[in-house]
Amino acid sequence: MMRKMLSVVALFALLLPMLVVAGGRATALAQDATPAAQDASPAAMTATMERDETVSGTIDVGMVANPQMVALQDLVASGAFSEIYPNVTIRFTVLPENEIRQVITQDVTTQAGQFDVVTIGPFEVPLWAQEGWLEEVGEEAAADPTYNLDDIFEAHKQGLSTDEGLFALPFYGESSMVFYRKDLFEQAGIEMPEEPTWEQIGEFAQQLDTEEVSGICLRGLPGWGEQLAPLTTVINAFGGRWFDEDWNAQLDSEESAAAIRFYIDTLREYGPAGAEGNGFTECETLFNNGEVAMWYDATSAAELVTDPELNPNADQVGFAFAPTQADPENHGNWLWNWSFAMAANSDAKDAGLAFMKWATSPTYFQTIAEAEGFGRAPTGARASTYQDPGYREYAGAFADIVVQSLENANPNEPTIDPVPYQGGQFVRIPEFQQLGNDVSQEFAAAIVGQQSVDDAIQAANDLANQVAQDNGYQT
Amino acid sequence: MQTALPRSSSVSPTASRRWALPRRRRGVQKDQASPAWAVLAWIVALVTFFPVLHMVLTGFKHEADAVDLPPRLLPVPGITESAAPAEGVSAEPAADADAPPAEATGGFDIRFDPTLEQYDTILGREFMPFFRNSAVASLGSTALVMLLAIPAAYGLALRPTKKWKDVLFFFISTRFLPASGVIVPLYILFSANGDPRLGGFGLDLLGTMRGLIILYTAMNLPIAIWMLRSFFEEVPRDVLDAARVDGAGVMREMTQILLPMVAPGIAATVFISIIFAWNEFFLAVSLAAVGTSTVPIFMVKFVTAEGLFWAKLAASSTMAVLPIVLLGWIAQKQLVRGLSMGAVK
Repeated sequence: MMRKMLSVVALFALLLPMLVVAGGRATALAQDATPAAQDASPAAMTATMERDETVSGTIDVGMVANPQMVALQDLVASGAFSEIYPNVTIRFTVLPENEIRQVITQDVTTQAGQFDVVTIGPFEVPLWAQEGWLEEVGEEAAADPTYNLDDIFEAHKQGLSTDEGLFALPFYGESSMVFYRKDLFEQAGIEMPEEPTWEQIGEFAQQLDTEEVSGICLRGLPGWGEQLAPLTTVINAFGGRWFDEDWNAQLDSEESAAAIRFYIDTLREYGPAGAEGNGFTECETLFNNGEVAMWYDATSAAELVTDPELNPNADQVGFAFAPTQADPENHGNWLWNWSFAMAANSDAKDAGLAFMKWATSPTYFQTIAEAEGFGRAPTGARASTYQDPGYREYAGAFADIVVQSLENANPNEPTIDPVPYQGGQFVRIPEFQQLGNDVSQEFAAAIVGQQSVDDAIQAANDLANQVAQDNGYQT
Repeated sequence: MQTALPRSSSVSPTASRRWALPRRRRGVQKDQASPAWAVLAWIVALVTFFPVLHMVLTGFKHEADAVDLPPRLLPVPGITESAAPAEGVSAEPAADADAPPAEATGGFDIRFDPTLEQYDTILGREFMPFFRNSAVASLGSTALVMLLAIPAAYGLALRPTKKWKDVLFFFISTRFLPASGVIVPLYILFSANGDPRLGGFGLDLLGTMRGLIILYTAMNLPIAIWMLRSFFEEVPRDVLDAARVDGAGVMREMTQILLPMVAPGIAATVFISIIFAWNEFFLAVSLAAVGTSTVPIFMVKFVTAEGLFWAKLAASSTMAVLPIVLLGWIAQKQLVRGLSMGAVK
């Protein structure tokens, strides 16, 4: 009896706070839902975008659940979009990256037609466009003077185009850079150059590595989009490559092997414990918690490491360009963006395009910045973002590095020696997702110490050769 | 969670001192169990329950606290305010520039400042449509399952035909293939146009509640038939014979004699069917993410590659399991009888 009563009390103790939230906050929420949007949206939007009642339809939009997309969803829910397009209804499906990739890929490849507009990146866009699954959108975007297509970084447009035209409009984009703790550098009596080499980064990691603070965080988590993104840019910078022009695997070449060895050895010696489980989020947490002195990753992390709410040492964060090694011009060529693309079999193309253009317009950036602050605004897609005085004030410490990195990234010629593929931190062939996942498992095993780095490199090289042979790349 | 409930209540910790050593099998009953058993039961129950407790606690943390190691398990309201000036930051007060941030990790502080901000965020994200979809899919499919499984189990248990064992095996064999093995054909079949090479026939069930209910019915039917059959089988035949002698027809025999006798078994089957449908993720995300998303899909919406999400995920998971916990609580008595006895005595 006593036990039963205890259990009931325990359950209610657990439930009570939630009931309080559910009841007490419900009214508050209704008011809070769009506090800032209310004063920002209509005025700012109508300033440059005119109300258009001629476009109508219902569109299904599939989006990856990153903070910028969630902010977009909130803004649409607050009515900012229907201010301009009152006859367009948007239904969002928001899922984490792995799930949304699966759902979108299933939908598009089987032509099931559930989605009108989806978020995808430069890895998929050219491949899918060649299959005829995506609608060309560049022509219409270029014809619209308020959209200002020229403002979008050239590298992004190249990555989203085929000979047939532009097939997606970038929502936000990123290259890569180094984040470091200025105070720890000062204590160690060393100085970070603006354009470091990987050799220097390795030395700094050694000098900064203590019992409490690890030298550097690099992604070790297996996955073509996790560990292999930074690692591939290191390979590019060292003068290595995945394949030569005849599609012979080159991961065991002198340069590639040196890069992989450097990456794994640095992580093993000066990286945080459990490095094989660290992806973007984990490294971000470690850096923000003050547990690592340096971090090399996507430029989109800059907003996260300078947010005082997330990082108590936000004012001590320094920034440097993505390191070079063999060629002072080659910073690895990391370039990614999340872009909106339209399914070729969409039955509401006008409405879809209206949404895509609105979400990727300079006006949207202004609106969301006023409503939610710059931290949730999509950046890295348009040059005008970095001319915005408000944003420059917010992002002054890193804005110039980001903009230069985005302008200089060249994913069409990512390596020092010529290659038959495109892509900075990936190899743009359909088979790369599987190959990358397998290869990164081998490297993770080396990070853990289950096999030697040389064995891992050999195994990875064999896997890459196998894929090139099996799929008809090697003749 | 589900295993923890019956376990902690079926083994009584009120042990008698007379039994110093646990007796075998027959002895482990009510007040005759040894304290050793009780302690063991409590340990197992706590170990089983700990992840759930951790989930609930994490739902009340700030995101930064949720990823801290060692885990902060002790809610102490207001410690943030007293320790650090910055709101929403749990770490130590912004240390001077040259002090190593060792305290943030080296110290063994397991306290955290509980907050409702995660629930605030979640409730701001329109939880109700997901909840409604889950409820309709779970209850609808369970109703259909019971409608089909009770007659099937009755037939198999009490009026078996030839080769009834093969029939029974066939039912369970539909569960042998993992769902991922059939997802592509299923997807094409469910789409509006089907496969053009096969005549372009499609059921147009993607993202519909009908589709989800059909899937969950098919998923749970074999298990329900197996469970119910074993309950029906243990009803004493004499009782049924007596009813027949008194002139009861099949319907009357079913509704007035059989079903009341196996009520705990039916309750257990209903409950299991609801749980399976409620928790199902893979089919829902693959075939119903657009249009009829369910609660498990709502939960993962907070998983992001850019930014912290553990606290929000824990809070939404807590919200997701609540209805099932409450349902289990209400039906506990029936469930324990149904699950632990396995049949009518």
